[in-house]
Amino acid sequence: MPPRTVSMNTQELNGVMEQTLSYILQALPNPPVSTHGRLSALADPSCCDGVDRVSDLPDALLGKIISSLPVKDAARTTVLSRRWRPIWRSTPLVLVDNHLLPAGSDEIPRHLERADSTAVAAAVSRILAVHLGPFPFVRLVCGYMDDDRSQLARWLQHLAVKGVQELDLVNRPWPFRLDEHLPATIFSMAALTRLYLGFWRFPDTVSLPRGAAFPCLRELGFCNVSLEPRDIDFVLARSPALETFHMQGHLFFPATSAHQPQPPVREDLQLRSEECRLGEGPMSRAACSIWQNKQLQQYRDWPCPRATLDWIPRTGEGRAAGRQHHHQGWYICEPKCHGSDCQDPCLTDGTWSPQYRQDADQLTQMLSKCREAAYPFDVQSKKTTESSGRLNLKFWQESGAIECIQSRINVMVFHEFRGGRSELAFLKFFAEGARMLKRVVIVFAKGCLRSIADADKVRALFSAKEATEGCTLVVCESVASEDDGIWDYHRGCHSCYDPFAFFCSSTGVIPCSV
Amino acid sequence: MAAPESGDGNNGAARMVTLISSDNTRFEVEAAAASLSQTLQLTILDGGGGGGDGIPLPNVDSATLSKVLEYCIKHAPAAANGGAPNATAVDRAELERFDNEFVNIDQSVLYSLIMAAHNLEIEGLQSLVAKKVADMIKGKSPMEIRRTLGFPDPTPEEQAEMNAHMLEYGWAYE
Repeated sequence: MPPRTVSMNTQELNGVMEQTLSYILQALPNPPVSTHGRLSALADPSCCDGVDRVSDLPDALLGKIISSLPVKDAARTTVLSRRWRPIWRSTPLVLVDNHLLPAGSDEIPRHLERADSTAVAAAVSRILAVHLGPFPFVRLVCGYMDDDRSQLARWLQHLAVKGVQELDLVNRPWPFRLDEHLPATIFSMAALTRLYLGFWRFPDTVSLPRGAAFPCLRELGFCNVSLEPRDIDFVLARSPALETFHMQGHLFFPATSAHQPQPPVREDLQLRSEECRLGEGPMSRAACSIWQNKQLQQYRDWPCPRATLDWIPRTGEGRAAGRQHHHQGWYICEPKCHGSDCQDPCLTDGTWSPQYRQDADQLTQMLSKCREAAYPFDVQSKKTTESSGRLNLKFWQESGAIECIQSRINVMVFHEFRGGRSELAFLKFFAEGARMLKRVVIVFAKGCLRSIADADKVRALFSAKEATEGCTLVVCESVASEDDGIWDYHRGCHSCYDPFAFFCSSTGVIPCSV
Repeated sequence: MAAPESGDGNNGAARMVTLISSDNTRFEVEAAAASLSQTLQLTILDGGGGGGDGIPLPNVDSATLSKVLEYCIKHAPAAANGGAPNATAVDRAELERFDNEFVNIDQSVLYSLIMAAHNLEIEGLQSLVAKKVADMIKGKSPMEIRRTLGFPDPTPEEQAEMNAHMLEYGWAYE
């Protein structure tokens, strides 16, 4: 298949980037301090009785109080008295840079004025310079960090020297360009236990000293980080304590050639897609290609108890890893549900919608090529205003996909089901033909499962046929609307269930056994 | 006393220990609850506090100790689960609700509590009280914080020093 190139203008690209940024921000854990005073919501009966008791506390306890404050409030305590003055600087620092914005809230803005970002950066510089450490938690997510690379280098130096333990470092490379590497200083942060990087070009690991390592790193997240498979090898090999590896999306650039010594990253970013079809997010290409090139297969036996791979089109490999290593915890967290799970590498991956003739044709083509013994199968309906044409039962019966469906499909999940005629025709065809089917999950689109009668209509399709004996049917409604995106990193990461299963446990379930 | 759910599997009834406050009041509690205190845990592991002996706590008065133990008893089951990764959302919400109400108390009690938690090395209780005090001063100006904490009004000299210092940390007031 010839590579497909998608071109975007600046405005479209910025929209995509901000959307992607919001996914990255969602993946970050809650910081240990909040600007919101949860406990102070209650009455303070004796808040002003005029007796200074707090000064009797030892410095260690004053430090604990200060560590529980957002950074601005914490720094203000230096004004209180001579006793308090030196404490903040030597108290473990919790620095969340969005707390430094004028609004100072826990919310991380997707869109940020450059002036605000610059003011935040100036404050960050002062804090990192004046504070003595240690830095148990630092989150820097408000910076257009490419604007001042020397400032970034200084920050990382401070963080490394003063022992940062948890670090979120998310860049805003707008207008979009990622031609410079993140400084390799991160490899000198020996105390790191958790590291999340977002929107960076990873340091070139080839040129790193041999001793570079993350000896204490337990959790690592790459969110839209541009890196090579060998960089992943390098990091994983040098993180002996790693428990959780989160990989979300990936920035993909056309392969560089002798004619293009610089990665061709421009405002009108060119996205080449060999594996993916139009209509998907642009961020997952390289991860997909790493996956499909089987580079990641070697990690199947890697003893990491949790690994989540988001925004990676679920190819057969992905699914196979997810299934075979369920107990070791390869959880594939799903951005959306992709249609193909065929292990034949020539097959493309995408979302199949039985309402579209074009999709249906491709689907049947794909199914007719399936050669493996058993497949799970995902279908997702799209909202449509188009006429569904003549995708009736007859269409499917004549489509040639019957062989695969009869003898190979064992699990089917139908997402965003709306009960339309073409959807029902497809289901009927499936129910009649699929002899291997062991499990069917029909996930109604949010708001579309109005009554038990809707569920019964589906159940009736399956209950009629001998072909589906011994098959479980679950009918439920999705908690999220199609536009929300049904994937959730935290749910995926901490789930100990089959990725399919959360539909059953977290939605209003109407389980119906056939 | 009901049989312990977790415990160390040592036959049946929960092991009890006696703690004696500075004003000579005796408190009998399950060893698992008292062991939330790192200091007491060592003594208890050595076999102390059982029988009629009791562990004297000369720095903690009875009013404070009863409050400390209330916290320990509530948090002991979760602590036994090792930070309770398996705890249900309901359990966690219940603990949170308890904590919220637990620190809704006079400042005088608050500070004796954090001192006791400090002496007894009860990490969770120290953090909880520290958070409460932090919440009392969040979002306030230095003068408001001083008033909240009961500091006397600053002398003109102190005021000048404060003003100069505020300039130095200008970013914290923007």
